Amino acid sequence: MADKVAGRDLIGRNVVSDRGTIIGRLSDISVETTGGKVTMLIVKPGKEIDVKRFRLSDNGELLIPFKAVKAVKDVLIVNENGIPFS
Amino acid sequence: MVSKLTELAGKDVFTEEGERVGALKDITIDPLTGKVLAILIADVGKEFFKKLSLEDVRGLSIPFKGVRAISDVVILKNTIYNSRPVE
Repeated sequence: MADKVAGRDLIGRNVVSDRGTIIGRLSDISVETTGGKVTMLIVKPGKEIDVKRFRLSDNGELLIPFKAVKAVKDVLIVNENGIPFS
Repeated sequence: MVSKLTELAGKDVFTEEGERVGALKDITIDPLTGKVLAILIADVGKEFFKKLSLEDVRGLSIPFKGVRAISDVVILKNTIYNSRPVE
């Protein structure tokens, strides 16, 4: 994994679970600006995703805590066990 | 304060003295930890180049520890004067 990545380069990448499910496409990230930390991935859900399993934003996008992220390369791999069930 | 990256982008960036530096373009992140490493500033004013003793730069990369505050605008600490241009 690269040791640094530009935030806007990540937007549009696929978000995939570590069990191989395509969860959706990264539409934004939320940043805690005092400490300087990415807190959440904001993901536009794929068509076949059961959104009820996720925390949702006001406009129906999936909110996945950054600590669930296992890898960032061509896609973002997230640990399915780290995704909160609503 | 928690803010979306797309909302951070475009915010005006100033020094502690109130001088405009440019506009926030992007941030760089450590993909392992999610830590914000730096902010990237574009549209850097000509006057500001001179202060940094630079001829011309496309943008500036400011380490996150050089950022004093991010709210409606971004305020940089005076340590920015030790910063290096991007490219």
